[in-house]
Formats: sequence, structure tokens, C-alpha cells
Amino acid sequence: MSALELQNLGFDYGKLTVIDGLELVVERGELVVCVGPSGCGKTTLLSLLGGHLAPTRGTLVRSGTSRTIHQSGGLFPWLTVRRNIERGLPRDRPAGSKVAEWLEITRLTEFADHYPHQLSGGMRQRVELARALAGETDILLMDEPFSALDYQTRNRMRKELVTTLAERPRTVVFVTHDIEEAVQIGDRVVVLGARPASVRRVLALPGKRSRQPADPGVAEAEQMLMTELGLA
Amino acid sequence: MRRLSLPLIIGLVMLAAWWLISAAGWFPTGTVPPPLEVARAFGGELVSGRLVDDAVASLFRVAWGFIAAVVTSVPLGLVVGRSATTRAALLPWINFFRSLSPIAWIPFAIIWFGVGDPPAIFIIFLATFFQIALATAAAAGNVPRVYYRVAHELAMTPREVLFQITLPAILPQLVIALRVAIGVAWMVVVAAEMIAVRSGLGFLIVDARNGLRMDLVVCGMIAIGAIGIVLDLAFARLARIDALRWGSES
Repeated sequence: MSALELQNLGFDYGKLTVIDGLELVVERGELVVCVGPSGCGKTTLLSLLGGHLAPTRGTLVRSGTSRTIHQSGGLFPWLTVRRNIERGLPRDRPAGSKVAEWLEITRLTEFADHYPHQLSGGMRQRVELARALAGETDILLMDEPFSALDYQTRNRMRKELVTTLAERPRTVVFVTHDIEEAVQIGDRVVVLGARPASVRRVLALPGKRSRQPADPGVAEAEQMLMTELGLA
Repeated sequence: MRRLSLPLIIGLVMLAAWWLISAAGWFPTGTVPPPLEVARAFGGELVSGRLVDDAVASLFRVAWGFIAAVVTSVPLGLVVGRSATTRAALLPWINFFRSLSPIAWIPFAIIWFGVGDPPAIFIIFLATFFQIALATAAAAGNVPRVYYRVAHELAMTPREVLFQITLPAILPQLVIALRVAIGVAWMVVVAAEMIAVRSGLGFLIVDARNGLRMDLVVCGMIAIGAIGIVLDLAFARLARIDALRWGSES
């Protein structure tokens, strides 16, 4: 069974149709990147996928639970790094060793007792990632998680995400407006049209993530996405 | 060092000005008590224990009124802040009562509660209840939605959401509101004591005035101001504990 199945999905904010007739199937372990013009309903789509909003039309089948990583920090600022990650663990599991493991994976061990406001933007996103992954939920929803970071940190975070996912596979839906990012980390890229959002085109990417700019097919894929989005 | 030395210099300048005015004899005798006389009276009140008794009596009333207000107004503020219907229904009325000077309630306080501590505590309660409720409502209404989404994904129960999300999220703002409210409470207790009771720093002032002891009036004023500073410092300190600092630094 697929992780996510969207059929003729539609959503209205009052009279405003934000999403209409959206069809998409996301397989288990797949990393699907959604790109589209800003304001096209990408964040609304993630809210629907996460179960925070109910579809107005169509069906959405989600097998398993999901966690969201937000663009604008979703960490609890009143808890330390350690306690934030601890919150993310499954309820029935004793905390201690698992937290240490996640601190290790995200290289945050020495910052375990810091508060989020004492960390850099990249470190905060690593804590969010750790908290989301610690739940052992099946689906990870990422809403432009790296867009507030500087160029170098952003690049490093993408690589770290891919490495972490290789160790702990998850189904990921990743929203971004950064074409380079989409091509670097996605298995498939879904291009959404302007509002109301629906799938304009799905592009399967060659090779394995994460890709380098010089890898075969990368430049062509970027070109194709630019054209599709009307940027070239 | 500057934090202590600068206020101290200003204090000495004020003291010098005060001494000059009283020594120059510009005003009729007894209208400006000389500093030395006040210092002597202050010492006498301290030794007799009356000043401490009065301060304790005032602090006792403030503590009960303030605590009663906090434990009732914070829950009310949370409900008003988190529910649009309740907010629409109650917010105008909270504002209505907040605008009424607590002093205006003194006649009713005496009729309802007689004399002694209860009317004074009631006045403190009224002076702080609506303020704290309003501040709590504003803070609870502004908690970023993303925290509740995360809480939902972490499968938190409503109880956990209240105690582990909403309360910690509003705490920095709440502590600031409490700091303002304790200042108001302290100001109001003195006014309440001028009417309804026979102890406390407010009573000390009224009693001294009736006996034309202006030096004692100034003693009472100094004690009120000094305790006010201590109360404010205590609440300012609260805002600096680790789990609250994010509110002022992020």
C-alpha cells in the first residue's frame, strides 16, 4: 500500500479555492518534492497531508502517522534541546538512551542543555529533524525547512537530511520553492500550478539522492522545471 | 557598580535638597519635616517594632489579595484567550471593571466585609484580578499556532496541551503582568488601609496625620517606597530564570 494517496483532492478557504482536483500517490520510502509558485497552496497541501485540515472535496488516504517540520521554528522555546527531542519520542518508550542517540546522530550532544534561542538556525532545524524522526512515524512533512538558512548551511542540511534518511528511511513530502534543492534531494518532483493548486507535471529524477549539479540529468531536470514554472 | 552608585548619588542630592528646603524656613513650621527629625522618628518606629508590624500587616493583605487574584484570573484569562466566543462575551466586561478605580469599591468593601483585613484584601483582589485576566487572555490568544500543531502531532492530551504548551508559552508575558500587578496591589493596599483598618502602613500615615506627626507620615512613605522596590526586584528576578529567558531574548 502507498504511504499517501490523493484523489481529486480539493480545499477551499471560504470562497477561495486553494487546491482543486489534485491527484498524487506517494510510495513508501519515497522523497517527493513539491514546487510551485508562491501562494499556490503548498503549505495548505501539507496541512491536509498532516491531518490539520480536512479536505473540502476528494479523498486523502494516509497510511501511518506523520510529523511536520516547519519553516518558522516549531521547537518549544521553553524546553532545552534534550527535552524537545524527548517530547518527540514514542509515548511508551523510556527516554534516556534514545535521546542520546538522536543527539549523536544530529551532532547536538554538547548542546543538549541549551535552549533553542541559544542555537543557530541550522542547529535549530537539526533539533526539529531529530524531534520529528524520533517519533518513528512513517511520514515526514517538510515545509520549506531550510529556506531561512544561509546558502552553505542549507546545502549541508540537505546532505544531512539525505544521510539521515538513508539510515532511517521515511516517506517524505518536501515543499520548497528552490529548484536546485528539489533536484538535489528528490526522487520525484511534483510541479504544482498557480492557485487553485493541482499537479501540472511530475518529474522522476535519474540516479540516487543527493545529486551534485554535474550529475547526469541534473541540469536538464533543472531546466525543465524552470520552463514549467515559467522562469526560463 | 554604576547600578548602585548612580541611584545613591541621586538619593543624596534629593536628601540635600530636602534638608535645604526644611532648614531655609521658607515654609511654615511643620509643613516640611526636617530629615533629621524623620530619621529619628524612623529609628523610634523601628525600635518599638511598630513599623515592622505595620509593614507585615500590609504585606499580608497584599499577599492574600494578590494570590486570590492570580489563581482565579489566570484560568479565566486562559479561557478568554483560547475561546473566541468567551472572548467576545467577556472581554468588554473585563475592560469595564478594569477601568474602575479599586478605590471606588471601598464603600462597598466596608459594607460587605465590615472592617479589618477582608475589605482590604477584597480591594487588592479587585485591583489586580481584571488586569491579570486581561494580560493572560492577550498572551494566550497570541501563542503561535505552530505549537498546537506540533502538540497535535505528538498526540498530546488536552491536559498536556494546557500544562506543557499554553502555560509555558505565556509564562514570560504572565510574569511581566504579575510584576505590574504587584506594583498596583502595593499602591492600592495603602489607600485601602487609610479607610478600613487600624494597622498597616496606610493606617500609619493616616494616624500620623491625625496626630500632626508629619515626620511619621514621611516614615510611612519611605517604608512603602522601599518595600515597593523590593517587590519589583523579586518579580524582575523571576523573569530571568532559564525557562523564561527565551521570552525576552528571542
